[in-house]
Amino acid sequence: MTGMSPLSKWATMSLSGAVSIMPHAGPRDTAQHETGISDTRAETRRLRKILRAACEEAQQAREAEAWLRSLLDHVPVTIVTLDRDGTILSINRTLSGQPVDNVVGTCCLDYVSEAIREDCRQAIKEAFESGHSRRYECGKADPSGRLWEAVFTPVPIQGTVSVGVVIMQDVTERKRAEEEARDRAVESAHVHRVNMMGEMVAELAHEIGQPLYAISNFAQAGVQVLRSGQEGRGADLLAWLERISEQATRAGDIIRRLGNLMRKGQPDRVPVDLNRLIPNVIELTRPRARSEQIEITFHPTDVLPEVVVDPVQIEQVIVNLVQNAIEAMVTSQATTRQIDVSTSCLDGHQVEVAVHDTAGTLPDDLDMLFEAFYTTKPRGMGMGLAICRSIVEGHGGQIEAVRDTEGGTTLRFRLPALPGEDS
Amino acid sequence: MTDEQPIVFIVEDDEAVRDSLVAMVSAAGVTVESFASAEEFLAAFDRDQLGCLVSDVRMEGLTGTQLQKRLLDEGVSLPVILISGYADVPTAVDAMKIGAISFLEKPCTRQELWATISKAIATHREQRKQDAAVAEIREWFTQLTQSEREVMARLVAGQANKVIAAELEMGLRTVELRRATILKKMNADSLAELVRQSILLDQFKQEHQGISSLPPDAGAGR
Repeated sequence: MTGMSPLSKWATMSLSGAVSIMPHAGPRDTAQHETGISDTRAETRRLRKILRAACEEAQQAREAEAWLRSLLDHVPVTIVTLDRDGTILSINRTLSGQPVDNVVGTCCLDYVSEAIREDCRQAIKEAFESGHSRRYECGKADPSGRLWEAVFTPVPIQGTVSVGVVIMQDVTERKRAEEEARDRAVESAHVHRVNMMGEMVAELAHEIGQPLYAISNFAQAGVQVLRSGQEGRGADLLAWLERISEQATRAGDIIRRLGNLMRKGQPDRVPVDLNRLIPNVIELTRPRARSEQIEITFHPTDVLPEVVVDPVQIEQVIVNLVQNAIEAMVTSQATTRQIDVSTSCLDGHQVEVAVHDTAGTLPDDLDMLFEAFYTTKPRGMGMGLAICRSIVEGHGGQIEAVRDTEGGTTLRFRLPALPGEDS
Repeated sequence: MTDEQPIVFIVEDDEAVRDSLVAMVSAAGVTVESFASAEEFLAAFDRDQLGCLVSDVRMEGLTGTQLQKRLLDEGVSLPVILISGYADVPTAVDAMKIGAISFLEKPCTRQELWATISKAIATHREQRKQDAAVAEIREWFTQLTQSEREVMARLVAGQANKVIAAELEMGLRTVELRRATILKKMNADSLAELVRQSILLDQFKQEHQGISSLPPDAGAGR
């Protein structure tokens, strides 16, 4: 027994220790009934031996219990046992600053915030009924504002489930770290967006300048006609005013599209129809494409389920993929200069967006593309596709690059479709 | 010819900007023809028309500067006004070098545009008048015989009749007769007029470079 851990000693003992005395005594009793004094002495020796064994076992049991107790006292989790009503039967440490003795016998629901009390009650009830574990976050379970995560497991004892164990863990630090990581991801995505806009800005300045210039010209033409008192030009004036209003809208649209991408802040997920979002994004990249004599065509699929996404981030991914395609074609001096953006719906559960170019400047190892700091551009940072991947994966999707047989390249990503009313 | 009505040609690929330029020029009461690309313009415009071209620099297909170069290569004298969206100095310098009459930056006021257009049209009118005159002189010049051209070269270089007679090994009388014929054929009243005509004649200058570079008094003093 020396090689065994205290816990296994304890386990052996509790299964066989208490009952092992009597069965040994029984048969010997009847077999040695007729013997005399010497028998009495032998009996005394035997009883002494049994007593010594019992003392040893009791000592081992105490050690085992102390060992278990110290284990329970020192694990960094709170372990609570509950009955079906949620009454605390035992607990391994203080709860909400209350000593153990004050807590035992009270209802566990008194220690969770009001907001989630009903949910917890329901979770305990369901766990007892189903016999399966339940995990839930207790929110701010104590006044110090720390966050707790609890796993409730019903424990069957002799066939009936009347006790459950709750293992509670303080997840404040972990949650905080997760939040910080998320904030950093949001921040780096924003920085990347701003850089991306920087690259587009010369083209877009021209694009915004055009309607403003047209407005200025139409207005000056009107002033000229009115100043010089030209007769019968009412129709012209009316047409010019209409063009002014139309061009103001045109400039406004460009600024609005830009504004979306420049927005900073926490991602906001809403149902989005990609067939409507993509044309807007393409318009942002078109000026650059046009100056490089590259044609961009959008091929929407007829029926496309919505996706629940942060539209700003998804716009960012698409702008990035299209800009990459433009860059690739400029560097590769491709003769056919065509970018096709298409949407499709895969088996009703996934929505795919594909950006196809005719450049074919992919590295041999396609997975490298999505690594941070991997770049084929002379002045690239190698962050674009890495950020695209983190955005797409953050939305529960995947992104990949494929070469086609004609030497072109497709970068495509898939997002989970929002189940429609009819499916 | 002074009664001829000018036309302002506008080449701009952005429809709204093109229409707004048409509005601005037509508000000033000038006839306008507009085109969506340099190619369209080159295919359609009347090369003998008085006027000017107002073109965007940045366009799909031929750019404004390329269009200007094309006109120059074709020998079209139509003045070119280039309009650019941003202060692109190298483009402006190139354009000016090959002779764009003006380079305007967007947005420009109607006063600026109008002043530039008027100046361009006036220049073109003057240019065309001069071109017509030169064409006439060239026509007269082709009527001269080879021998008459040799005498003319020496006359306009300022050589005296007797020097010419000696150099060309002909009689003084012959030189005097040739001189009278030349003045008559060239419709010139005086030697001064003949000198002016010779300056206008590129062809003449090229043929007689050696002589016309002589100092005016080189022969007269002897």
